Amino acid sequence: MPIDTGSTGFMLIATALVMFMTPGLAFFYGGLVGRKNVLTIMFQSFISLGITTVIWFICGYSLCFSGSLGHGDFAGIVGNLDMAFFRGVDLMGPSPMNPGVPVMVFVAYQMMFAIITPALITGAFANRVRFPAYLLFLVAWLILVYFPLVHMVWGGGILAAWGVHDFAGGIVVHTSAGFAAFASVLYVGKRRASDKGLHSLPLVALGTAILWFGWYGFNAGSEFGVDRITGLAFLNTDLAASFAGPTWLLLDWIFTRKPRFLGFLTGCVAGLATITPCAGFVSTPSAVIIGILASCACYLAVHLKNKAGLDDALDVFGVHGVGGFLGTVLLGVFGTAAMTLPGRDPSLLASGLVDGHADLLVKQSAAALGTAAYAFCFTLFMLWAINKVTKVRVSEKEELAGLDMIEHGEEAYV
Amino acid sequence: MASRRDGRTGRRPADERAGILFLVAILAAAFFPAVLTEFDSAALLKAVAAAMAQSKLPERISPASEGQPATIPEILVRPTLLAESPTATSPTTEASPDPLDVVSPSDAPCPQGPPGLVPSPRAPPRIA
Repeated sequence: MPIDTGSTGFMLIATALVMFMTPGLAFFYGGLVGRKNVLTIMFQSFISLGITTVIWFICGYSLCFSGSLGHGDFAGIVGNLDMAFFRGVDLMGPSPMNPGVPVMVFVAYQMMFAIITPALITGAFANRVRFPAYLLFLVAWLILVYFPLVHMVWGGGILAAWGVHDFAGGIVVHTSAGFAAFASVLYVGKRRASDKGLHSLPLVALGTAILWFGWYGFNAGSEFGVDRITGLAFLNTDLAASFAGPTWLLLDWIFTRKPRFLGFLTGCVAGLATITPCAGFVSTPSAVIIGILASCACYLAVHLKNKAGLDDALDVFGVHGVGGFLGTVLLGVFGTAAMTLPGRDPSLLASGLVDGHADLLVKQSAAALGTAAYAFCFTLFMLWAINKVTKVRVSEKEELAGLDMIEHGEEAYV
Repeated sequence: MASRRDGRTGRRPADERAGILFLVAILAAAFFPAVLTEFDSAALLKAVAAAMAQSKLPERISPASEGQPATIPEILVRPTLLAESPTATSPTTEASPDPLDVVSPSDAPCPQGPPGLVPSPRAPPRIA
């Protein structure tokens, strides 16, 4: 089949946009922490660009996309090693989702998702985790949690076979990272130092802007080509973020009596995370509703988390976990057959309650719950196991001194 | 909580109230029409209406007088029963278990999507 130059060009740009989200996340988190821990958290994001790519080349792509349920994978949970070291990723090979786009573009695009997902978790245990332990965590989490989830949902595994839908990563990226963050918070405990942050709101704003910009590639690119759904996903992404931001602002204004900039930025990210699984499956009015509901649910989650005394430093669980979970469930409500292309494979239709079908809602809810439990349990187990090899948490003295100097021998501000 | 910390308790100043009301107004102006757009004509409501009509049906059947067949008020005829009528496009002899699967004569044929999915009449035009 001849190459679809338009779609291939768009996908290369979308891949670059998703790559840019990881530095954006580093700025977002960097601004939220204290001055003595900026480099540590930014480095935890940036290092994923290198380490995850290495793991992706060795076995990641293969574990995600080789084999399918009943065809050479492991019980529909994880793929095999047939494509380890990119074996079979040929110059002339078509991508699985769009034969007009080279397979290498697909490999690169999916790799960017793998890079940012574990980096999301780092916001939960900011200022507390040692760098060697984080490196082990990064690799183990990818292999034991992320790759199996990608295979189950996007690689022809059991959830895909069951009819679960996830347009751009509500289950695979946000629910998994959010509940892994929740487990991390429970395992590492509270921060002891006073240098908690926030230290630079402009840095947070810059990070949010980059994340939002990259999210167009994240969601619209998940159509894996240029068609009318690409435009729908793009517009829905913007709508959800734009309605979620003012909603959070309103809630902040009512409950804290200040229209806080940070609240607006957090709301935008909550809207973006929540629309992710729905972006190409729902109508634009649905995206508006989803954006507003996203902020309400995430705001409540963050409030309850604070009340419970959990030190999820940068609200990864409250925003990404709850947002991803909510979006996955809401797809079962707002997914509609009206938002599809003529002649599209019926298995790709997400037809929910608005079409009068309740089965998708049941499947989406079950998948979200299962993913949350899976990510939570494996993360907790992993941290426990890593702690047997090397200490996960820094000492109180190190925490007080700040991790930038203690762990890396560098300072952000001199 | 924050209000106590900031020492700002009591009635909100007028500009603060105006700001909050402004946000509430524009969000509500978007939210409720969006909900109505998605739900008022959605098949969900049709399914609920059909289920309600079905549950009332036995009470409203006119008692058959001797030698006369029972009559059912026309407005309470279930869609599934309509499908069995000679005017229905589908010559089914059994009632469909899902009222949404019934194709009425006025419904345009589904241009796309899997068999059995009837698009909402208020749904936006299909993307060509």
